[in-house]
Order: sequence, then C-alpha cells, then structure tokens
Amino acid sequence: MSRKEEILARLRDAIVNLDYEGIRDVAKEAIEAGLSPYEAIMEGMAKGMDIVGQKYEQGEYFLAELIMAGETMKEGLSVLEPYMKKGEIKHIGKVVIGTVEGDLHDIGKNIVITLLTASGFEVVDLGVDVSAEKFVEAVRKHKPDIVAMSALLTTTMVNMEKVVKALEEAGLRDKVKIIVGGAPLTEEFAKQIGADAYGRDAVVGVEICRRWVSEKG
Amino acid sequence: MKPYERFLTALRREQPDMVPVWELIVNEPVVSTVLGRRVTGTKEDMLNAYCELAEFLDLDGVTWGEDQEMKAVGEFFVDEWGITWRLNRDGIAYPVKGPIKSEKDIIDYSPPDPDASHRLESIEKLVDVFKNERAVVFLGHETFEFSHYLLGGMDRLFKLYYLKPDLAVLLSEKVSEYKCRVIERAIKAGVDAVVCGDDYADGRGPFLPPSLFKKFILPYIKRAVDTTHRAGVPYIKHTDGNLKWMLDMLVEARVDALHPIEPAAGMDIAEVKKRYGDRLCVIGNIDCRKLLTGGSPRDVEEAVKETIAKVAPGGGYILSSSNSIHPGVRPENFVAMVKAARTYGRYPIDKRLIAEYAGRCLYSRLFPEFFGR
Repeated sequence: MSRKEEILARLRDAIVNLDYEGIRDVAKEAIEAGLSPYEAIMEGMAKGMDIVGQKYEQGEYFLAELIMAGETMKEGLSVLEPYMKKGEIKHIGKVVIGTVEGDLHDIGKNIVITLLTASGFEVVDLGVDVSAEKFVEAVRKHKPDIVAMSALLTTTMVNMEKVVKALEEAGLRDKVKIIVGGAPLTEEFAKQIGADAYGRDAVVGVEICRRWVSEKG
Repeated sequence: MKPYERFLTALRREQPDMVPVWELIVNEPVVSTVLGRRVTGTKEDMLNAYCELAEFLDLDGVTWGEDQEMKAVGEFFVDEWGITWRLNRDGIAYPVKGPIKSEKDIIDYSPPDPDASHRLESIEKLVDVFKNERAVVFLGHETFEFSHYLLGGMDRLFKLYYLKPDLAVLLSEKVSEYKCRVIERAIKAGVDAVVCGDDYADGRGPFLPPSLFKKFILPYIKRAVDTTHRAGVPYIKHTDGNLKWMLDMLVEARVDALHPIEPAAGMDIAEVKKRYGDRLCVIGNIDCRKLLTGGSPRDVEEAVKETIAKVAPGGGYILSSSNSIHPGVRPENFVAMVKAARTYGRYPIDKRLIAEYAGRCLYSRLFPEFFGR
C-alpha cells in the first residue's frame, strides 16, 4: 500500500469509526503528503460514508451513527476545503431540497442533505414549510438536476403533488427529476403524484440521485 | 364497571367487563367535527371541548400534559424552557429552536420551576371533572425529547452523546429532575396513571445503538418509572416505531404498558402480547397511518374486530389508534373505531369472533413490507 493509499484508507476508516476527534489530523496529514483535497474527500471520506450507508441499510448502524458519520465528514471537510482551488470542486449534480408546505419536520431532510453533500452533490436547502411557488422559483434560479421533497405527515404529503403540478405549469417539469421521501409515503403514492422516485430512506434516496446523474453523464 | 376501573383493570393485565378505549391525543380538527362545533384555540376551550368529547364518546381514560406559559414572539411561541415553537396550520406545535447553544449554556442552564402554581392547572381540572369516573392519565416525559428540544435538534443531542458524554448526562439529569418532580406532583393531584411520550424509534428501528440507549436513555426511563411506582401508580410507555431489542429493556425497566404498537412500523401486537403479555399491558394498534386516514368506517370496524379477537382475550389490552387521532384522521373513522370497540369488546370475547379472525391479517394488505406472507 502506498502512502497515499494508506492515508485514504485512514480517512475512510475515520468516517466508518465515527472518529470525529481524529479525522482532523488525518485530513492534515493528507494535505501535508500532497494529496489533492478533492481526492481526499471523494476517494477517502466519501468511501467511508458509502460503507456507513450500507451498514445503516443492513441494520448494523443506527440513525445516531449515520448522523455522527455525517458530522465527522463535515469536520474533515473543514480542514480540506480551505486548500481547495477555485473550480476544483466538481459537483456531480445539483439538488434543490425542502420539506413541503405545512410541514415543519427537518431531521430526515437534513440527513439526506448530509449524505448528498458527502456524495458530491451541490445542495440548495429551502428549509421547512416550503410552498410550491418557492420550489418553482428555486428551480428557475438554481437550475438543479433533481428536486427532493420531504414530508412526515399524512396531512402534508398531499402538498407534494402541488409542487409537481406547479413545476408542470411553469414548464419546468421535464428539466428535473423529482424524488420524494418521508415516513407516511409509499412507492405507490410517489407514482400517483407524478414523482420520478420514492426514497424509502435517506441512503436509498441518495443512491437513486447518484444513479440519475450518472445516467445523465 | 366504571370507565376508570375498566382502564386500570386492563393496565393490571386483568380482564375488565369490556375492552377499554383511550387516546393519547385527539387533535382539534377532529374534536370540532365530532362535537359539531368550532373549538377555538384558547387553552380553556380546548380543554372543555376535550372533556365534552370524552363524555360524548364515553372514553375510559383522558390524558393531558403540564401547563407552560407561552410568550408569543411574532409567528413563534417561546415556552418557559426557552424552547421556541411554531404552530402548523392544524394547530400542532413543533419545536424549531432551542435556548442552548454552547457547552457553557448546558452548565448554566436551569429548567423552569416544576412547582409553579400554574404547572398542573389543566390536569387538576381533569381530575376535578373525571375523578372516580374516567381514568385521568398524565402525559409526562423522560429526558430524551426535551434534551434535544433544548439543543435545537436530535442530531445535536447525538453529537453530544458521542463527544461530551458528561455534558449529555448533566443535561439529562436537569431535564429528568424537573420531569420526575412534575410526575410526582401530578400523582399527588390525583391522576390514575402516567404515560411518558418520548419517541425512541421509527419504522426502521431504534434511533440509537443499544450502547447509547443503555447509557443515556434507559436510566432516565427507570427513574421516571420508579418515581411513578413509588406513588403507587402504573406507568405507560409510549414510543413510536419498531422497537426491536428495545422492548426487552423497557420490560426490564418495569413499564406496565406499551403504547401505541404501530403496525405501520412493523409492530405486531399479537406477537408483543404473546411474548410479553405476562408483564405488559398492550395498548393501541388501530392504524392511523393509512386505515383511520384513508379507510372506510367498515374497514376500521374490521381492524377493531381483528385486533380484539387477537389480543383482547384474557384482558390486558386497551384499544386505541396506533399513535393519536391526528388531523389527518377521518372523524367518522374515529367514531367508528370507538363504536366497534363497544360492540365487539364485551368480555368474554365472542368465541366465534376469535375463531373467525384467528388466521387473518388486515395489515398484510396495508403494510405488505412488514406483514406480507
């Protein structure tokens, strides 16, 4: 194993082991050893997040561990980002995300944001209680590849359909893929309202987003 | 049997004259429709309307929490803890910001006064109205939810568990001391049971690994249970989600009953009763994710019959929705649920009903991901 490979493996493991306190030192070492920050992120820490996601899917890791892995990644990023040159950050795609109108829950959405960022997406977070008009406005302004919507209530998930309709009316529907998620939702519901996909949980949702942008090329 | 006796008998895992019916929360839009009058948003009218509803539907237990003075700040409300809340359109409050921003804030933080004279005004009123008639159940908390409200997010509490365990314990102690004191006072005021509402799981399972649960959560559940038991009152544990290994630990903490045993999260009430029925009264399970929201009164009746057939025999079952009568529940379905419970819930449970529903599973149609065979 080369020195570079060894540092990348340690970055990866720091994420998997939730080593929040140790990751800064490994990230500094990566810079000192001449690794590009981009490489350290994508080939090191992001690989760790993939493993954490798999462990979460398999029931080996819990929500707390998924969140802590995201926090560890952010800590590593805070060391690496200042060394990144302008234009070096190559995002794999752009996502506009929000919790729909009437709904104030944000934990699920925030986990998705952490995982999307870790996967290399640029994320525009519209927050909670986001109206259909705000989604349309944001799509116009930011020109994302994907619109992601969250809802935790049966009374608010119906507002997801309003967003799909509003995007159709604005002539923007075919410019974006739409993914929806949240506890009360189902695959069937997603189809019915005209979304492109249903993310059963954050890990699956982000997986779908990655597939979409890689298909797009 | 009076409603409160029915409720408490089932809580002791014994068999009352009929299956008791109770709800943790009935939200305002449903209360208004069932009563056929507009309930105003004032605390007084909400409580009055709730009392009317309990009488109207002949619920066996009633539930309310503590009182907090709320300061209006623009579209937000700040309670005595310093937690900022926002109301959604259905009038349900969500915490949006916490007062604790730093480690020093945790050390300096003091909870509100649990002994404040207004603290239990509402529950005292329920005791006045319903004592020796309907079971008055005090809705309290352990430490998890208020700790994350104070920090402004569950993610922040998890981070604290990992990085500053001593401060996490300090914060939990402060919340626990307050919450246990309020439980003691509610029991002195005359409540018949306590239910604590902190959620520890979702449809995927527990939020946190067993090691963290044992260290930061379980000791405070035990403390709340012991506080309640010392005063001679039963303890109902409410938590959403699929509890998996957590269930053993809750039983070990000596909770008397489990609510709401959510089919939408894959919880099988017949299985829970089979495994823990000698130690635990089971409460809930009438689905409010798809059935009470989108089904017909006929479907609801079917679910009630099936649940009664499977878990009511022998007692130790209280019927309720799988969480609460939230604003998405069709009022006619709520009424149908209560009516069906009265029709089919008389002891001894009809043997033909038990035989007829033995092999059925309505939830395999609604939640094939969990109950598909």
